[in-house]
Amino acid sequence: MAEQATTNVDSRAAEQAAHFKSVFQDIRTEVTKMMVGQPTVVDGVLTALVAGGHVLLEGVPGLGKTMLVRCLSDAVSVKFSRIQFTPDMMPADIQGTMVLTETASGAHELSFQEGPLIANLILADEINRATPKTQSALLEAMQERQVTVGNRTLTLEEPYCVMATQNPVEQEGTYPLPEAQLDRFLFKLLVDYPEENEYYEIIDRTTGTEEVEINHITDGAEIVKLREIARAVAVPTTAKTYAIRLVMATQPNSAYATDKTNAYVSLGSSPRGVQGLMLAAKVQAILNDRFSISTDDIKAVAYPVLRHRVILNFQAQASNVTPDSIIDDILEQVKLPRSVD
Amino acid sequence: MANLENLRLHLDGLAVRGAGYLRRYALKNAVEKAMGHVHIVALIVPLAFVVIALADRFAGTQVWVLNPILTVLLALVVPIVYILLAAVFGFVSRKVSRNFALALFDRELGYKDRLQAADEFLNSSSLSEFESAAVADAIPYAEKATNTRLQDIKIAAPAIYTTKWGHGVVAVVFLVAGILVQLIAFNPNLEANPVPEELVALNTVEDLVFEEETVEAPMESEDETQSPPQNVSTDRTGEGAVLESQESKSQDSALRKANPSDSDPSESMQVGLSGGASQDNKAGSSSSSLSGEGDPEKKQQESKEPPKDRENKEKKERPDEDEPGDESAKGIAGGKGSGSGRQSSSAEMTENTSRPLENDFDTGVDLESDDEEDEKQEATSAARPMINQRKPPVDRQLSPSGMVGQEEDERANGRGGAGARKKTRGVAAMLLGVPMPDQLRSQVSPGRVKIQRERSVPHPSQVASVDSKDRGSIDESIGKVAHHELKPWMRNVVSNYFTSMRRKPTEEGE
Repeated sequence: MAEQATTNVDSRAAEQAAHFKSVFQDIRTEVTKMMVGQPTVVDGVLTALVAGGHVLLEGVPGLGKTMLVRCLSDAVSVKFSRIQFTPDMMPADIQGTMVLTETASGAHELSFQEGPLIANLILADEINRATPKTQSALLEAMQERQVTVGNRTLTLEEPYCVMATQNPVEQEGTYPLPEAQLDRFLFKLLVDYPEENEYYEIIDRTTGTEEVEINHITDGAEIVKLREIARAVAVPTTAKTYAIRLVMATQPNSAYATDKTNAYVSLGSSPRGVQGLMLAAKVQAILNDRFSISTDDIKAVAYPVLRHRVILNFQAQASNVTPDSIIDDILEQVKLPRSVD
Repeated sequence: MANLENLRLHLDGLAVRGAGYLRRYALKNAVEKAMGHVHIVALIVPLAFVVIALADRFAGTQVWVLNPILTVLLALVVPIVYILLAAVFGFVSRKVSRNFALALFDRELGYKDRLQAADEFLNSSSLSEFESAAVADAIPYAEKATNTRLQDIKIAAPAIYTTKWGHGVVAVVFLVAGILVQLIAFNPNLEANPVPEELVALNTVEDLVFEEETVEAPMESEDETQSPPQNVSTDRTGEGAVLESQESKSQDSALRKANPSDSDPSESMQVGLSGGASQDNKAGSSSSSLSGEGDPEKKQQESKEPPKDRENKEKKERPDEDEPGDESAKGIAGGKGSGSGRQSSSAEMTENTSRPLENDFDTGVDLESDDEEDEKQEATSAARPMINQRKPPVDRQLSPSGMVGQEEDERANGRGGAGARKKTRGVAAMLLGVPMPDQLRSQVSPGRVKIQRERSVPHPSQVASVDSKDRGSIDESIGKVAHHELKPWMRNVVSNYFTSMRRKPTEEGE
């Protein structure tokens, strides 16, 4: 009887995992109708969406960052809004403000006019062009899932995902994101130039007469279900230990800090880094047909989860040391739990 | 349930097998590490053998009791024992846990931690859906792992490289050297040719003198007999060497008499010498005095000598003086000659040192002349008309305008026109914020911060002169003054104010 119950449970978990994987694959297929190449970026954005995190996309202009998010919103069929950040943008411009409106009876009253921040999928384009005042307006929305204007607090509807883009080249007149806000992004994905063979596909898809149409695959409620499935993935102690060691290795002078970390890192990852590693690894485990995460899943998501949480010091910048090279070293140095090495 | 039990059994079996693999790996690892250091351990016995054998030979003791065969055996056994001990220690000290053993299978077979996770979830009290699924997912993998023979864990090749075998060669050399030290007699010549009693009678300080004179001997032998000087240094143990040493000692004493200022502790030791030795000393003193260049007797003798001989003598003496390693010989046998040589060399030194000074002076003069030429060039360049701009030459007058005795010149802008860089004299200091080029090239002085004094040229303004006749008298009425008519209440206020003011002094006066 117990075995049958176990089998039933197993079959239910297997069904959930299979559903998760199929929806994920369908969304990916729809997005890649428009988006050529960049499989890591597409998977990263989808993983962040179903893991309940926010994404920071960094790349030079013209690589399809905005188009990727727009395609994703089309495929998921959720309320989408785009904010093009500029230096003169104020918090009220994105959160909303009280406006004087005329009622049916002809009287006047103050009513709340929602800003673009109140949506399901937010594309914050060139987020580093906004002033810190406006950037900080995103903090509450990203972490608490709520917006406070005056004495009025609005709870944002799930799924809520902010996908911000920034240009690494044009740094003049920009305001680099503060560490507190960087930490709220689950992933930081680097969008690179396409491969040579991908250019042919880009030309064919974008300069022809045919228009690509993105179908609605799922909706917001389905995404919330997928998040619950992902959170249910089992986590063995080995994986927990490894994730903790990785995060501690990014912190200078910690027990697992490498020499490179002590030399070049001024600020390491916060506990949000462990949370991010676990959530993203759970999605990876389901996509890899497993019900519990492994250390390989953690390794796979270590770069996008940790690279924006490792703040380098001046010496590192002078020596051209990048956060990815620090993570390289950490992955090499930090031993697996119960490792035979 | 049966599946779960089967899984547990499989995991138990895998844990045992994994532990065995890991222990073997630990053993191999320990051997590998020991092999990395064994080349150093192999040197210990041969090195100790050589050192102790040499010490035994010189000290006459018998510390090393082993014979050569046993020593070679010991040198071979010590590294082997070291490796065995390291292996045993590594094997015993390695702890192998159950999860550790299962992790080995996960890693080697690429199971992505499935066995470890299943083992952990099996031991937990309550399982979630995904934990149960993970356990069920691990069952086929555990069965597969049970039926799979794990390949030997790859360990690195023994860390003995070609270069480290050199240590083994060194160890063999040490062993052979030690054996030779023990077996072969050290220096049989010492026993065959015993030291003469005369030499033994000499104390250590005289021995030192003897060593010094072995350098000097060839010079005199060349001067007197033209014989090669090798005999002195080679036949140390023979009688000839003893006699020569005595002669040289007598020469040395004669030199010391000739130069009483040279204080030598060996003088007190020469008191106990025999009379023959003292006679030799006298002879030596005469010969050494002849050899001195600054001696008047020698000059006379040299004047008597034919010029060819003198030239030959000079040729013979010059190389000896030029030899840098024969400073001791100069000091002993050269006598005053060496002093004159020094004088000449000092004269040359002064010449040499004076030359650079002159050169420096010349270069200083040259620099000054260069500066003057630069100034001239600048002056000429400043005085040249700017043909391309069709302007007269720029005046270099630096004085501000309005100075007494000088005409105001608007062209005196302090600029020297096109030419080389400006110097710090005057011009740049007057310009604010202009970095003044220093006299040193490629160095820019930040300049002094000064308050800028603008050079303002007063422009005369033509104003009609006022004649005093046009001015009216003081008593004359100025005419009507336009004023507003005050309102009645304001007039009352003003009149009341002034009347009250007038009243006050009168009241005080009363």
